[in-house]
Amino acid sequence: MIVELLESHEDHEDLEDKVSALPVLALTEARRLLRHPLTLLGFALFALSVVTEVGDYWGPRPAFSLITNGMVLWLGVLVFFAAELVASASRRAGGDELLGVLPTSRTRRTAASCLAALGPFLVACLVQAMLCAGYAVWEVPLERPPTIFELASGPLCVLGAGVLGVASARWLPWRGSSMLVMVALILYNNIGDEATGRHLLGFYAELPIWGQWPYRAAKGFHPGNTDWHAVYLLALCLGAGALAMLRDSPRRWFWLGAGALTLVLAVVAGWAQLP
Amino acid sequence: MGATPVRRRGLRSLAGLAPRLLRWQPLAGAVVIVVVVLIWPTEGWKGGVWSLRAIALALAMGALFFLDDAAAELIAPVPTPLWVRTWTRAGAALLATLPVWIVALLVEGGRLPGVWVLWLSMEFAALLAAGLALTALLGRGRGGPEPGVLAMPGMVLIALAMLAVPEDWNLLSLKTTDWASAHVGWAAVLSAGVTALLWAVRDPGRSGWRSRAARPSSSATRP
Repeated sequence: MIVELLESHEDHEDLEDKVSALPVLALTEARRLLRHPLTLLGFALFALSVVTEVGDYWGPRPAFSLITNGMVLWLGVLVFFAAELVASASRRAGGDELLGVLPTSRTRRTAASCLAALGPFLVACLVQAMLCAGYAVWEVPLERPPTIFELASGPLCVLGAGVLGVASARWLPWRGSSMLVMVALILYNNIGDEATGRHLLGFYAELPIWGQWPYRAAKGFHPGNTDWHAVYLLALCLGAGALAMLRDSPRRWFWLGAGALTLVLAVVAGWAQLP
Repeated sequence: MGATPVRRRGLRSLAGLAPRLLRWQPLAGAVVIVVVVLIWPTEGWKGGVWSLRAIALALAMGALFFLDDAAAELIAPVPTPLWVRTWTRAGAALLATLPVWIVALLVEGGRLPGVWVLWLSMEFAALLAAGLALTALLGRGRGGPEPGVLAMPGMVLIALAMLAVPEDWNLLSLKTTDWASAHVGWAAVLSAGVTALLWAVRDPGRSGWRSRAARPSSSATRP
């Protein structure tokens, strides 16, 4: 009997090696993240902001801002908190010890939580595509059409927010720490001046110049390379993922190396985006 | 020994235990944020208004953790009713945040038109009341005995919603004329917060509304 049990256990381990539970876990986590009230309300807030912009502030400048960085504020902030809450749910419920005895390791659960951030990212891409279609149908006047890299910056920030939320949950397991992380992000976002183009070092980067009140007219664009800005944001997303994995993975040197590589990429892209 | 000295001694020992009974660490983090915001360079009276609004939000988010009570389910049957325990914690939150707010007003007040000091204090009171009410409601609902971690992003959501609404409904306006509607709105938030807090701290055993005892205890499920 004991031999049979041991054999079945070995079979289970073999099966575990062959069929990774990661995709299933990632899908489950993505579903939890997408159904989290904060994520749903984030999408609702973005829709409300679109309605408000159309009603109160519509013009070439607001239309360009909305489609390039609108998602960062209304959706990205809330996805960060939602991802932090979802990733820390088992710890807050006192269930980490229970999960610890399962065949799926904590490393794999962290990886699944990071991959789950692709859920809001893909939905954000879909919403962005629908917004682009709306602009085309209603022939919204823009100073120039946004590039694919400019359109990607909003969803990329949503992806980064989700992954950073997981990293925050893993590295800072104290109540209220996510508030400090968010404030640090906001302060970091304000380090650069728009006139010099250094505002692109932040995440909520305003691309068109606002001009005079009521800030609706097309007045040109701030200096800086927005293609490299998207690469910079992607590097930061990957870096946040490496940071989250570094906490739990036994292969610490691998994730340290990966993090260092993404840091180098972020520095290069951050430098290249400046005018 | 009379009753008053005994009560005094009890209050003194309770005050000594406060750091262990209250979750003060998030508020300490909020005070660090307040210091950073105060030294962060901003221009003009509009910068001052936004700085004080950020400070009000940070303090409200830090203070709402005072309602976290890990032992809430254990001490539920004690003779001290829920409303006394919650209002004591809410009072401690007010006592802890008020001096910080006054210092912030003294630092930023010099560059603000006088009326803004009053109106921003009202916004602070409304945010504090709304935060505490949201925490108490979550604690009574699905948030468990430590709902602060859920209420904090809820406050961020409320702040973002205030920014996203159409201009006529916007409570975070910088208008110096026609601002009556915004301040009526803030008064409504303050009233709703206090009312919701009053409602949320009713004794669950007497109200007949989803008794705590009927729900599975989160502490009972822990290993």
